[in-house]
This record gives sequence, C-alpha cells and structure tokens, in this order.
Amino acid sequence: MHEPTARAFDVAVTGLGLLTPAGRGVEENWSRLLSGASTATRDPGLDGMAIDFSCRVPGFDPAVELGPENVWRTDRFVQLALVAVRDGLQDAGLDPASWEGARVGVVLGNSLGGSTTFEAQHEKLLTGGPRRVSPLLIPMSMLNMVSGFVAIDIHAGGPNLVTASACASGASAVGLARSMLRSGECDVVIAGACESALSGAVLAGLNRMGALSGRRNDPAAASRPFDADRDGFVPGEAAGVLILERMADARARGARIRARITGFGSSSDAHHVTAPDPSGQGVERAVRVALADADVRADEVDHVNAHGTSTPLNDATEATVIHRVFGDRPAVTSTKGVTGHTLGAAGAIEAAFTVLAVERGEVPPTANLSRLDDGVHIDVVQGGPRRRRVEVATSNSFGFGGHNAVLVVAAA
Amino acid sequence: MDTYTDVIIRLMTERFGIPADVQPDATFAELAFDSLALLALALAVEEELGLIIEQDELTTDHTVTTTAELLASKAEGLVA
Repeated sequence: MHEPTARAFDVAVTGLGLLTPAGRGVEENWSRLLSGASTATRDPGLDGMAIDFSCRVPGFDPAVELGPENVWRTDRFVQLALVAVRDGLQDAGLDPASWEGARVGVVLGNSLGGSTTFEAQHEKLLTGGPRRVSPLLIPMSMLNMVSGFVAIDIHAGGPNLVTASACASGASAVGLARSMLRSGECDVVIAGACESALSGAVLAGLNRMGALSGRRNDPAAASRPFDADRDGFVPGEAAGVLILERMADARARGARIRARITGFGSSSDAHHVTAPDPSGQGVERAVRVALADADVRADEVDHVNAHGTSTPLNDATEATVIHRVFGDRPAVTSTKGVTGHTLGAAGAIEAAFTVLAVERGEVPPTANLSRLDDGVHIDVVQGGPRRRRVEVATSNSFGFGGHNAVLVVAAA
Repeated sequence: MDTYTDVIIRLMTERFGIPADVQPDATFAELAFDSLALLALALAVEEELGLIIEQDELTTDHTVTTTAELLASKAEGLVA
C-alpha cells in the first residue's frame, strides 16, 4: 500500500502548449499527427538556398498574439515560446495574474537562439559599420533570453534557465524540471523548448554537413523516418510547453492530469561531435537509466516516440537500440515524419505527443514510411494510427554533441 | 515637409508598435520605452535623418517634443 505515497512525488503534466508545424494546440496537432500527412513544404523564405523547403509553424502572427509593441524586441524563437507558454497555462487552468510566482520555475530548451536576428545584424555590421548594429542584437539573440522573457511575461520568479543539448534540449528541460519539483525547489515548472532558426547560414551549415534531405522535388515525401529511402531530415520550427506540478498538488487543486513524467535518463556518447556512436551504447545507457528511474521494466513499455530524424545514421542506430532493449513489443513512431525536425524544440513537442499517446490510447503513424529499412526490426507504426492501451511510454531525444535524453511517461 | 516630431512619431509607430496617437509630451518612460528601446530609436533616427544622438543625450525622462528639439539644435549646428 505504499503506491499512493510514491505517486505523490511523481510529476503530473497538467497543461500542454503546442505551436508546431502541425498546428496550434492539442487538437490541431493530434489530428494532423494521426493523419500521417507531412507538413514539409516549399519555403519562400529560403529562395535561392540549396534546400528550399521546411516545416514552419503555419499562420503565426506575433503582432496579433503579443501586440506590436513587443514584436520588435523579440526574435521569433522567443515569440513562439511566449505564446506556447500562455497556451499551456490556460490548458492547465493556471492564471499567472493570481500567483505570487516565487516558486514557479521556467526551464526551456533551445539550441540556436536568435540566429536569424544575428545574421541580419551581421549584415548591417558589414555594410554600415558598427554604429548600425542594433542595441537589441544581444538581448534578441542569446538563447537564455527565452526563459527570461517568459519569466517577465508570466511573473515567474523561481529558478530560470535554458538547457542547451542541441536536439535533446527539450527532453533535457523536462527532465530537469521534474527534478526541481521532486526536490521541492518549485511548485510549478514551465518546461519545454523552442526553436526558430531557419536562417541562411544555419541551413547552409546543416546542408553542408549532409544532415538535410535533398528531396527538393517532393518536400512532402522528404521526412521519412525508418524508411529505406530516407536521405536526411527536414528542418522545422516549433515551441512546446508542458506545465508540470507534483501529483499531490495537482490533485489538491483538482487539476486535470494528462499523464505523469515518471523517469528521465541522460548520457553522452562521448564518441563524435555529430555522428551517433554506431554501437548505440550511449543511447542504451540513457534508456536504461530512464527505465530504472521510473522503476519500470523494458517489457512494460507500450510505446516509444523515437527520435527518428530520417537521417540514415540516426534511424539505424536508434532502431538497433530499441530492439536490443525492448524487442518488438512497443509500438514505435517518429512524429518527425509529420513535423520535420524542429531541432531544439523536438524533445519538448515529442514529450507532449507522448503524453497524448498515453492519455488517448492511440499511436500516430510514421509519415512517409512505405518500405521499412531492412536493418530495422522494430514495430514501427505505419499507414494509419494504432489504437492501443498505453500505460507506459518513452520519448527519445538525441543531439549533436552526443547528447542523449530519454523521458518516461506513464498514465495518470 | 515632415517636422522632426512627425518623423519620430512615424518611426515609433512603424518600427516599435507605438500607437499613432501617441502624446508628444508624454515621457518615454510613460510610453514604456526603456533605455534599450531609446537606443534603438536613436539608431532609427540616425538611419532616417543622418543626425547622431549620443547614448547619454536621451533618457526615459525625455519626450517626443524634447527629442525633436534636440534634433533641431543638432541640424542647426550642422548648418552653422
């Protein structure tokens, strides 16, 4: 009869804020994911670039959302986060106007900051000299500014920081936020991540290192995780936020608990700056630490939201590790088939998608997966969504630099 | 021809999202224009008019009107 006490220290997800290429909010995102239709499309902002397609957040007007007086002070990566946080708090039934805020923490992941702003200002430096550089260059482009802006917006006076572990940043943020609740440091933590870095130099750099899909003639088919014909990822932008509270607090205020975050594991490949360790040992370590932290066995895991970037290297290594740890039991999906790879935001939006799979008992298909790679021996959901009871799920996120971060999500 | 007051208000409206009916005698502090925003405004003025406002010449106690006066005195200095 010790379970209720243990669960009191668990961390509840009481709200989700989602601004992704698949849409805004839980319902738009979930129905797009279930449809299995990719969001990748020709991007007029990338005219003249070798890779001219991407996955952008559709229909986002920062002036309407935040007021014109706030737009010029902020880069888009911050704008997306501000709105996702507001949406998440509303979903959780929390009103910042009603709190004092000293025990509200903010932990957001990001990897490339305001690279679009930085590049535009660099152009001004080159063409007009140092006097033409905006005094807002630094506050608009440093990545930590996102949690700073959010704190100001919602009066969150608790611990405040940005995690930077590349494409694992969002998962790192959720894992750290969970620790801050379990230690008693905070009562509410706004956890998540954002990225909007679809700028010329960033995309040229990603392309030059061979990370991007070259499928210019058919962008909608370009992001195809675990498929035999995959050739790289499609870059995207997004913000995703999970409102986290201790289970006991969430219950006491009568909050709707979407799911629990019950485990977190992280590791480093300590192998190579960008290529995954083909042995998968680092990834496996993170998975096993997360399972141990959650006190669940591998054969209890029903669903894996894979990192599944659609690059040849990632998907092969990840599938090998998933098979080694779980066999073919869990229903595996990569939602990047639909959303593209939103880089630093990916771990957060995929944690949110995993919460929804647990809450709704449904696993979205992997978009564009028509012929499973011969080397992949796991159960990747394809064709359409699969209804199945999901008591326990994991979400994988890996980043350049060898960062691995794995979350365990369990039913409320 | 646009007065300096017109130019400043236009820049504040177009680039900084301040409503067009801004009161020229309200202080920048009252308009929620902080020191960083003032530096950005000074840069916009410089790009538009070629008149340089130094960092210590503009504070949040200034108004659109006093800033226009400052610009007028600078322009006069250039002519003289």
